[in-house]
Amino acid sequence: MEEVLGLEDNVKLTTIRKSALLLRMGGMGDCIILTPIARELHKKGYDVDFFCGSPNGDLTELFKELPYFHSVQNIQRVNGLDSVKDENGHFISVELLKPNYTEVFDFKNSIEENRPGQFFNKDEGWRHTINSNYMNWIDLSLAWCNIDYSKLADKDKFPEINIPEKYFEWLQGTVFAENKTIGIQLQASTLIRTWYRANELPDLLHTKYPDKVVAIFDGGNWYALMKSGRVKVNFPDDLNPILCSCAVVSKMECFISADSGMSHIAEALNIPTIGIYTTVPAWTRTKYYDYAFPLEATCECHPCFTLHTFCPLEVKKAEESLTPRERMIIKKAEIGTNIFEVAKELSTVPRALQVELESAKKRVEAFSATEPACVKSVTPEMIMDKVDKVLNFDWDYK
Amino acid sequence: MIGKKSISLCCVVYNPFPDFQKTLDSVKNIVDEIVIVDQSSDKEQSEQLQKIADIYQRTTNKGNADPDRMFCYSLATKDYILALDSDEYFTEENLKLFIPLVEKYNLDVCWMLFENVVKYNEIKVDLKEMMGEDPHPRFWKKVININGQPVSPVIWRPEAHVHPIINTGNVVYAELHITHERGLVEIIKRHLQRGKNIDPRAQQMERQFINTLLLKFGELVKVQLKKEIPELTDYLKG
Repeated sequence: MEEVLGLEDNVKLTTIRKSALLLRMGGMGDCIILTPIARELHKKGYDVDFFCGSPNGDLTELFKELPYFHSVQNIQRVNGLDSVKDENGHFISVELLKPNYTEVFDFKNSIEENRPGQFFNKDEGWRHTINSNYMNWIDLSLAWCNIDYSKLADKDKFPEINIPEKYFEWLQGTVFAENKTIGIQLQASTLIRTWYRANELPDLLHTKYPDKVVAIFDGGNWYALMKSGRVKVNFPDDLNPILCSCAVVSKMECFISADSGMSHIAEALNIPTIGIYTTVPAWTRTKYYDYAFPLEATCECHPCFTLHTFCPLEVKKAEESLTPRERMIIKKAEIGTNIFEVAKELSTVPRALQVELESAKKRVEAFSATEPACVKSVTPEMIMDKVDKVLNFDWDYK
Repeated sequence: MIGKKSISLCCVVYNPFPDFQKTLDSVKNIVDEIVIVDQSSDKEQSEQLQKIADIYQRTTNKGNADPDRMFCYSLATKDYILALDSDEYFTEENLKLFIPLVEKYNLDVCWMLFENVVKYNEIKVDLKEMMGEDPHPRFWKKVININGQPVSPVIWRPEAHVHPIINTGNVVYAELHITHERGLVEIIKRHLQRGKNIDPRAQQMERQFINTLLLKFGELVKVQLKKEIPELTDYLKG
């Protein structure tokens, strides 16, 4: 919205546009779901700059050509400070640039921190009610930007990306060139959202759909399973591997995904996606997605909404497996009791106590990584059924 | 002055001439004040320093600039501090990059990269491979406000070879270089002179630095230097 500031000589109009900075350090999905938010801000008259940073790599190419972004820049951490490169190659800290904007929407210090933190007293029940998983993330992101999500049509809440033509040119030379691929990517950033039995699917899919190419994402690479055997698809050095992956997804007939960034990419590319949701109900992610075919865990404890890496029940079981002494050491460490006092009480020395504490914590972590009930409850058969439905889906009806 | 920002050039020095002239000349068009803390230079150099300085303070020789840095910066009276050692200077090219940067951003601290060069007779060795880009904060606001308290955005600790504490997020990491040009003999003599005046960790770092530096210059130079500076053999042994 342009604000008219003044009229001079009855003819001269002076107008000013508002500027907004969207900041997001996170995974691919976290950045992609901000595109509907940027679109809305743009409609409201903001020039939107998007600074994004991801451990997955540089994502800026995905957004640069989208018309509602004024500029898109990759955040890099320089000497511990989030910074972006200016046109002369200097790294400028994001903090220094914030005052240049009418509004700064910093998602690093909003959604990410909207959880019980280590500095809170975990025993306070109400702390557990602070959880960004209780809401659809696009609605939540809109709300963080002071946009009334209830007044926005569902059809306006879709994510978008742009893949430059050179990636499709590369794809033409690969086995994924034709639209008959079924893709599998079942790793998520946390173990509890990762489906453990991904290795069983390729053979099942290949047997049932021998004419299709099964694309498997594993350890940062795509592998193709087809009639002639299994091949690894290499990314060219001069192309961004993330965008190569997006191009691969763009040619899929069906994509089977964990609750991860790739599922948002698939939606942005209008690719039918079977998303496996373990800790959260699917609507927190796919409520407005036209191409989502979510598969939810069927266990009693689903959804638990946890934001943590491990299943809370598995963590509890792991903690119960510790000896009373180990439990006491962990408890004392959590409440910050002086290590010398605890060592004296347990007739040991601080150094030994430290080792005991570390080993107990490691054991809890190891036992917590066991496959949780929600992940177990999704079976390969359920996925295969869903694939069948997707491949035979009547899109005209939808 | 750059734009409306006034600048104090702050230098902690000890017998800095003739190299220091290059430092002064390189920034003479942008600085409004010269602050010099002289760690007991010889009489002749001391007099010369007093002539050029707007603010001059004489301290004891500590063999190292670091213990006197914060004192020196506290004497500055302008908006910004440009901290250069007596063997550091801006090339014309780098100054051209620096000026628009300061004009454009309301920065609290600017880190700059270093081009470290060591000379011995006709041989010049670039230490980039050894020290990387060696970034240091060299330009910062004299005072910023944190919770109503005036504080320096950069706090140098008195120990040698330790990066300072930065009290602000308004930082620029500039893609430009300050040239740091030194003579090999001068470096060794200075390190020998410091002796045990600096803490053991810094002594060890310096010895390691000299050893690696001599490797770069080669065995012939090392033999020559051992003749020129007899104490060097013992120093290298630790």
